[in-house]
This record gives sequence, C-alpha cells and structure tokens, in this order.
Amino acid sequence: MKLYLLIFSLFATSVQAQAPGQNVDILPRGEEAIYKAEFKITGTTINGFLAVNHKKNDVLHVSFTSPMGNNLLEMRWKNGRWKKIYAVDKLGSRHLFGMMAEDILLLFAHYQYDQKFVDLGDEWKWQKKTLFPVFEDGKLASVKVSGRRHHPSKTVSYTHGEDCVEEMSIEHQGFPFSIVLQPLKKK
Amino acid sequence: MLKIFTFFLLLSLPKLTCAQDWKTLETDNEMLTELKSTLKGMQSFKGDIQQEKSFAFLTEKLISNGVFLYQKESKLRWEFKEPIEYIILINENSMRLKEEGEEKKYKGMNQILRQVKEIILGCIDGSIMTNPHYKTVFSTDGNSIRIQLQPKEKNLKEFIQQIDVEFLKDGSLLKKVTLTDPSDDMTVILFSNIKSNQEINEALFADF
Repeated sequence: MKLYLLIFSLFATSVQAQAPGQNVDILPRGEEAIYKAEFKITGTTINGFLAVNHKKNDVLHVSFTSPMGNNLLEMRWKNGRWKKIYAVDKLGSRHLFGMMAEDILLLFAHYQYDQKFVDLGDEWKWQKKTLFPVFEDGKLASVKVSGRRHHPSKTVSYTHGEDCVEEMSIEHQGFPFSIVLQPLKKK
Repeated sequence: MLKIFTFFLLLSLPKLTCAQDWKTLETDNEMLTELKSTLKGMQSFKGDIQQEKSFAFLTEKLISNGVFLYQKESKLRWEFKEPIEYIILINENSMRLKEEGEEKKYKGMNQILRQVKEIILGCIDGSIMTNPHYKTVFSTDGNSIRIQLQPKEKNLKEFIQQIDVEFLKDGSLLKKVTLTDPSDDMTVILFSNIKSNQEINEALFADF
C-alpha cells in the first residue's frame, strides 16, 4: 500500500498542472516585462512600475520603482528562495517583504518552478497552501490560495487580452493588502 | 602606405569625435561662478522632459515623457504624459500627486519624494552646488559643465549612489540629470525645448 502511495505521489508531481492547451505561464521563461504597478498596503497606496525578468534558469528578478525612477524594492528568487537586494524602509520590514515576495510568486505563477510545488490536478499544493486554479478558454483565470486555518486566503485574478495578460491582481481576504499589475504596451 | 594610414585614421576617428574629455574644475573657477550667478537669478524654467530608467537586469528601458515647470521659489510641476499620466505638484512645502486622473495619498513615501524634490530643485536653482550633504566634483568638456555628487550620509547613500548634473555652458541651462541607484540602475532625465525666465500661469502650481 505504501509503495502504491509512493508511486502515486511521484506520478502526481510529474503530471503537468494544466490540461492540454491550458497555459499557466504568465511571463514565459527567458522573457522580461515592465508593468504599471499599484501596491495597497494597509491604507497606503504606492504606485510605480514593476520590472520583471524570468531568466532561462528560472531565476525571477524583480524591481519596483517609483514613477520618478528611484528604486523602492529589488529582489531575486533563485533555488526556492528570495534574496532582498534593496528595499526602502517602508517596504523592507520582514513581514511586509515576505508577504510581497510570496504575492509576486503567486501573481506570476512562478511557484510552479519551486521544487515544493505539487500538482494534484484540480488543486495544487505549495508551501503548506492549497491553490485552486480556474481556467477559462484554456487560460488561467484565477487561483484561490488557502493557507492554514485562521490565515486569510488570497485570490489571484487574470484578465487576458488577445495575446497577453492585460491585468493581474492579488487580493487578501480580510486584510487590506493588494497588488495590481498591468503590462506597459511596447512601442 | 597611404591605405594603411587611412585605415588607422578611420579606426581612430570614432574615438576622436566621440570622446568627451572632462576636465576637473576648481570650486572658484570662473565658469562655476557664472553658472551659480545665472542659476540664482533663475525666476522660471519650463521645458520638455524625457526620463529613461534602465535596469541592470533588463534589456528593456522604461521611458517616460512629459513637461517640467519651475517657478521661484520652490514651485514645481512635474508632469508625465506617458506611459502613465502622472503629476507631481510642489508649492513651497506642500506636495501633491495625481495619477491617471486620481489624486493619491503617499503616506510613508514622502521621505523619498522630499529627497527627489531637493535634488531636482537644487539642480535648477543651483543650491545643489553647495549642498553640504554631498561630496561634489565639478568638470567641463568645453560645451557643458558637469557636477557629480555623492552623498555623504548613510541614509542618503541607501537612497542614491551618485547624481550627475549637466548644464549647457552657454546660457547655463539644465541639460541632463543622471541618478544612479545603489543597485547601479540609472535614471537619465533629459531636458529639451527649455525656456527660462518666462511667465508661467501660477494656477499650474496650485492645482492639477
């Protein structure tokens, strides 16, 4: 029985999350983009731009900059861990940084590149959380994220345009924290 | 022989034409005295701006375009029209921000805005040349005067690594401001179509 469970769990982790034709890559490997960004953090709104690079080795490099160009936050995700490169005081506290870092992985569905990610078909497991993906027309439309008991859940939503995601957002239920990203149109 | 000479001449031509040799200026240099005096007398300043932010880890650049208005003392309207509409209004000690038609409250971010305001206003009225919070180096390439500033204090160093300000030698007009972040990312602000000491509608500094 144990052997059967082991084989089943190994099989489950190797199966792709999406059904054939369904796409969960928000920023595909090797691509970069700049997004108009709005962070709402406990009553404070911080606007700016989020520059993101999904490197070919699945490193995710992110920088949040103000409209005047100065960096507010820069971090890099590599081998399942975030490294804080720079953060202004307002964004640098451990709790806030941890929350933003996790939300960015959720927004870009980058958890799928984490070894701890487990695909169980209709639901995904990642870092003691259960993720419930919803697909519309073969594209990821939303992901509800449930954590431990008494921890607020989060919802990631995607609005798709003709050839790219036009808006993505994450909202925490029962906690005033949200991020909204819109890609800048390339000229 | 002539062919070889021409070949080497062509090779070295780009270096000869593009090289900008910056010569350091002493603080009591005549050019600096003149620049200081012109900037001190600056009553108003308006022009177009192009802001180019480059990220060390990205090939794409973030380019913003807009207009810039200044009125003595400390009145500033910094308006980006693209890629997003964004207006910063500074009128003496008040500071307001509007983004895509909506006024925003920036609790907690005021410190950053204050730093940027001090740098930009300092570049226009020349006060940055004598700002005690920065280590300053002056230089010229013949056509422009450059001021390179490096913050002395730790809290400023965390925010900015270096500021390079360039003025046209003729007319002492602000040409370019380059802000280098601690992570080596750079923001270049280019000023063009500048008109100085012309009347500007006061209402533009009072409201969006």
